[in-house]
Amino acid sequence: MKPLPSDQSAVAWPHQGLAACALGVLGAPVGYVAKGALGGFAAEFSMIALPPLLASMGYAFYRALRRPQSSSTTPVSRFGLPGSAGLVLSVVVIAAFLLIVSNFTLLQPLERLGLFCGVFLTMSALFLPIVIGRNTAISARIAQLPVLAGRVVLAVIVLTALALATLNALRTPAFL
Amino acid sequence: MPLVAASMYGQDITSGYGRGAPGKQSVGNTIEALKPKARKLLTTFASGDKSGMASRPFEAFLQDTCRTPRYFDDPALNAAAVAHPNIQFFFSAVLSAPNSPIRTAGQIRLHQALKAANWDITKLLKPHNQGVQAFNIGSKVRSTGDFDNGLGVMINGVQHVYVIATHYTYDAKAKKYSIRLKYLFYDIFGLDDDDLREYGARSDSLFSSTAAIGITAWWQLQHQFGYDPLVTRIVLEKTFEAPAV
Repeated sequence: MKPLPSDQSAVAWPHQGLAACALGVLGAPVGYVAKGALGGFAAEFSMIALPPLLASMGYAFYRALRRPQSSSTTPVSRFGLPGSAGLVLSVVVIAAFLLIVSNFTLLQPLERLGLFCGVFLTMSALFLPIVIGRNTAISARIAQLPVLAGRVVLAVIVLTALALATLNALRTPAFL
Repeated sequence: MPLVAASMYGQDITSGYGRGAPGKQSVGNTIEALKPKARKLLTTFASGDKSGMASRPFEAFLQDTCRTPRYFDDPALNAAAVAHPNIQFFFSAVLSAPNSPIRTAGQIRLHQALKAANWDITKLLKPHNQGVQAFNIGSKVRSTGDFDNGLGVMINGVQHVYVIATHYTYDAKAKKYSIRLKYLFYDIFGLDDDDLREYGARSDSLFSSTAAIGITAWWQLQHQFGYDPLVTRIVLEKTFEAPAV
């Protein structure tokens, strides 16, 4: 019998890994804030950027970490188009914040990318126990992907990020 | 000291008035607006400098009292340099004697050149290709090490180094020699267009980092308001004794 996507035991490890990666991207702003990246900007930036960021992260995590719906309903049927638009807007706000805040000090493009990969991997690792231990909507959604494809995508994402983060950590910092 | 060619520097030693930024970067239109923005670089990259060695070249640059490049010498800078691991490495690698902690294998350094000259320093052929590592120990992201003590922002990569033997004695019986070396390090406290392109901010909007705004302000003061860069000079001396083998 084919298990339902909501059955957590049926979620294969590549899908859990990809779900952790997705949450790692959504949670990456926290990693930058923890590194003190906001200190690299004027105080007004925090006042302007943090409220929409927190709202966007809150909504995105609510959508990602809630219990999955039964297979007979689709996400659109529950949240409707406004919900989908809200999710897209939340992801755009998070991405824009990352784009800006990742340039908080004098970094070359490769350093910036390597640092992002390090933050992304750390946050993904922190979310992994959550997606393993909890039946989440994002895991159920990703479980629709064939397992083999999930393995390949996960391997490409993790290995590329690991390589860029390691390269950045090992290379001599470039400067003026 | 053998005759050497004059040190060549790039665009970072130049200054001018009203030159357009390569990417139209601008964080202010007046000297009064730009100066505090340039000083913010000290907050980011020199907050750990208790000696003031990093703020002094900034203030000397911002005084704009002279229309030609000036040397910047600073005892605190010399003291910081002599204690720096990369300079200690350089001291040792330049000599590369058998008792040097660091030896550059397969290269002609001072010891090997002296040996080839049969320990007669007047016949020594000057070694050339020894570079010095930059002042870049630490993390830009966490503002640690040279990105906290000011050495990174005021120097980072040294442009020229001269090593001069000021004293030399050779004891043929004991098969050893003593040599006193004077090291002159030169760098430019100034920015070029590449620095601006790579690290500068397009504008002083809230979405630009204070460090990037500081770089643009510094570049503008130098290339649009005629503020002359400084030639940073570090002078160090050290005596070595080594076996003449």
